[in-house]
Amino acid sequence: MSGMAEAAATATSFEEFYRSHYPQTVRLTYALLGWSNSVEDIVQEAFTRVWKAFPVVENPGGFLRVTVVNLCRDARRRQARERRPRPLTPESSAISDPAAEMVDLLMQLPYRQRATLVLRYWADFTEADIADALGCRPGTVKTLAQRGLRRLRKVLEA
Amino acid sequence: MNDVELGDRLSSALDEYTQHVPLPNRNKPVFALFAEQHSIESTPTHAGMNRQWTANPPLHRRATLATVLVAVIVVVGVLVGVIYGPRSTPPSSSLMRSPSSVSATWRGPFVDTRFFPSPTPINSVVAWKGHLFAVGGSSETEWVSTNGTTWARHPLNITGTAGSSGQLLPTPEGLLLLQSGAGGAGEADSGPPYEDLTSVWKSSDGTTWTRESIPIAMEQSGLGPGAAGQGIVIAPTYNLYTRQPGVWVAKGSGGWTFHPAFGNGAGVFGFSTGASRSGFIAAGGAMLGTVLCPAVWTSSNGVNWKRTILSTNPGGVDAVQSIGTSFTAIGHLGAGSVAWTSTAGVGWTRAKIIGMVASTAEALVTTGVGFVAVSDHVSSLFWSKIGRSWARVTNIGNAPLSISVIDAAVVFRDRLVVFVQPPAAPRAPIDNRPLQTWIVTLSG
Repeated sequence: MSGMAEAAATATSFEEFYRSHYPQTVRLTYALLGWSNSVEDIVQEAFTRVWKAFPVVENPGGFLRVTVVNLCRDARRRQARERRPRPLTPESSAISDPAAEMVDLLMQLPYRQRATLVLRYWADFTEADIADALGCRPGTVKTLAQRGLRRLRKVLEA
Repeated sequence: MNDVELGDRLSSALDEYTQHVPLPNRNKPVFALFAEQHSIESTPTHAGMNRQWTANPPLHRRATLATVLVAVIVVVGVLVGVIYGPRSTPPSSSLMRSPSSVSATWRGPFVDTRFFPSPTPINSVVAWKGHLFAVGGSSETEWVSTNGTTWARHPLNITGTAGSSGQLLPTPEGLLLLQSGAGGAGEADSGPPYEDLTSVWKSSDGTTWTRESIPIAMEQSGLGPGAAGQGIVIAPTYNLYTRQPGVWVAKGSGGWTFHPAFGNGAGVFGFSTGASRSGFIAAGGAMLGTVLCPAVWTSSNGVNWKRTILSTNPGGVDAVQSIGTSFTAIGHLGAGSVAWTSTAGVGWTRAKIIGMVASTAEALVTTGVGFVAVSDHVSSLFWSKIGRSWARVTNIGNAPLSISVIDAAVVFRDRLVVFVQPPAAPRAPIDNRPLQTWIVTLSG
């Protein structure tokens, strides 16, 4: 295949990848970060990085998820640094009160606990995948999940 | 409730939540963004917006003799103020002597490997008394430099502020450090969430600090970026439980008082603040129904604030600055970057910043003869003389990688010092990346 044809094929397959993964990636970013002006930027930045690595990366879906987790962590740090308040969502009235309460509590957890719970209970990641995404050992994932659940339970049952 | 039940409940809540989030640009291929770097689509203009939201309705709507007379008096007053009023102190050496067209020469990265961990991310950096002072991610430490490339480390001996967010503010009485502990809002995996612990410190030399007495309520507040001017210091705050905005105000460095309802209405603010001869400005967004719109708050005394909605479309203001009596704010509307300018916060003019990717504005600095907006994206700089028309600065030499994160930028002597976080994703360590600085010289 010529260089031009190869590039075209890559672009086509990337566009398919983009279109198929975009909605879930946006939702994952919201789940990790809460409502934020940064969501769109993070998603686009993540896809940009996947695009650059697309011809060589074996598992672009995994690469994308790990990138999103890391970018959200960076954004979360920046939010904390700048003390930007984080409204739950601009359409929070459309969400039932129990769900809003749960998401609000989730957003108050430290990032790694929150990411662990989101990836484990909502995104159905395995412990190994979560460990990979967070850059920690699988044992740490269990600890983070336990701590996060304990904290949620404590508030919910108070 | 056992773990499985709690997990199911969490999953259901997130399902419900994520079904209601917007999916921006769902049909736009990502590579279209690269084209936008060179030509961002026009942001729709909204006739009537200024009439609706700015303080001065057009004269033809209320063309009475009285209003014309008032307008003439105001114009004459402003002109007299501009001509005879006190001048803002320009930098000792202007960055640009011939500002008709501007190019930037980047030198770097300068990595001071002696320090590990380094102060990334930078929380605050100021040029004061011939030195650069920076505080950052590794709390309780301050970095001082005389050139922007090599640094000396000074422990702050500030306790109880893990995950803290320090803000440096030069005042006539000395350098202030507003240290706002973040508790669980930081990266710690233990401890209660959002437990703030704020302290205020003052230094006459920038390296030895004494703790100031502040109200207990202020100790429990998280602070946003503050500003100092006219002998007044302001520090926006936001109660994360009640979502009640407010501002702490001090004369000099003491006597802090809290003023709630900062900005009369729902909204977020304090992304950036500035001070000028006209007063203070805080940038942010205001909720109109379910839409977060770009907004600024202005005040002549730091106590009484007026909110101005800059657009009724979704967006926000990312950074503000001032020269003399004029304010300039940069932010985003939809997919485009926008600048707004105003004299004394009365009447705002909007201008597009062609070529700047939305939401990437990291810093807005004044150079003595204009504004420079520093964008995160592909290390791009944009220059404007008075904020009303913007031109992309041509980069000469190697700029930081496009996926680097720019933390801060500050004018120091004849240069711009840019603080950069090296790329992190997907597998590079996030913590303890070394500090990178780049030295940018601008020329016309």
